Amino acid sequence: MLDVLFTLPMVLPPTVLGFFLLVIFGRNTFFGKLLSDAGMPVIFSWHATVIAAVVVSFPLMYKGAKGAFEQVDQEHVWAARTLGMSEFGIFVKVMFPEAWPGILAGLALSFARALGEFGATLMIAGNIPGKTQTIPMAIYFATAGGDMRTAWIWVAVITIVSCVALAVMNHFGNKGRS
Amino acid sequence: MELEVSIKKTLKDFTLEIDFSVSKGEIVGLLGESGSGKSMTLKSIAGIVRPDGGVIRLNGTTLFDSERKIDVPTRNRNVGYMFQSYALFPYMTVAQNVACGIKDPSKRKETVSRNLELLHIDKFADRYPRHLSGGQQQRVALARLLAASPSVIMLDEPFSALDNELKDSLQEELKSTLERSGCPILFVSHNREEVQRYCTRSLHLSEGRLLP
Repeated sequence: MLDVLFTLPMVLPPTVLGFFLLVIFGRNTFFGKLLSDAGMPVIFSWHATVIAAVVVSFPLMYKGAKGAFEQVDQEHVWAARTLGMSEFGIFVKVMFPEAWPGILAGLALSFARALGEFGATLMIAGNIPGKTQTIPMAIYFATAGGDMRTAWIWVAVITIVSCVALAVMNHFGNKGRS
Repeated sequence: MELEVSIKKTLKDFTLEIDFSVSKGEIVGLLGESGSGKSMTLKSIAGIVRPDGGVIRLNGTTLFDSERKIDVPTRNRNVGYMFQSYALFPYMTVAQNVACGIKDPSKRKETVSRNLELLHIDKFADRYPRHLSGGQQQRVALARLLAASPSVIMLDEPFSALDNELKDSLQEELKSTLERSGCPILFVSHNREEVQRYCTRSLHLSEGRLLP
């Protein structure tokens, strides 16, 4: 059940996610009103871009980490238990180091995905330059407005960052295997 | 010091029903084809699998008793279990692996170096298991096991991953090391010759039962 909930953002269209987030954080609901009254309106603030990015990239992190922990050799865990190690000790010293390359791969992937988030962000944060404008948003509106120079700059930035993220992922992924 | 086992467990193809004891300083070979219930017996003693019924006692302490509903967790059983694959922790150095089972932090350093020397692997202390040969890995597994000062030692097919030449050189050494540990030892193997060479006594297991 939780697994479905955590994975859902990966298969749902970003606009649907944006819609849900708008419903949850919008001023017409109890939760959204509470935040707004507390002086923290979420919609069309930079916080909204963060929330959108987190929700959209979460499944990649979750899947990566889950897969990494599932691949930890159970015999190592049992060996640790026969040696009298505590469950916490086993998690920190045996399971976590073995899962680490997978966790890092998930981190790099979800970081790249979060950086490129567009649909949900547009719906709940809009495109307010200097406030809620993300890189993909800047590219879209620069291109739409015919400002190719600005578009090129941002395209270059995001391509470089994505390549670095992939390189980091591959580097640590290989380190874990050799 | 004594290990008493009397357990029953229904497996897929047959029922494991086994009753034996191992006393201090004895090396008992558990001989049988693969899939005859040998590993299952070891895992029951270690608490990795749970028998359907029966009693397991070690030095008078009950580790498992189905009727009295006693099932001591693996961590508190103080059993030394050497897995067929050795199950060394890949992200720890040899010294860190050996240190894992030492309960008293003040004696950790000394116990590690003593056991590394005992098995002649002190020169590999800072290496990782993947940089060691099969025979060297086995020594590390044994050093880790001994450093935890277990109350019983169980070896699951200890030589299956080694080539013949290495076996001969390791066997004598392993035997003397084990004899010095002074606790009951269970040695699982499918190789009759290996068991005869090593063990003070052997038990034959077939389809979950001991042959007379």
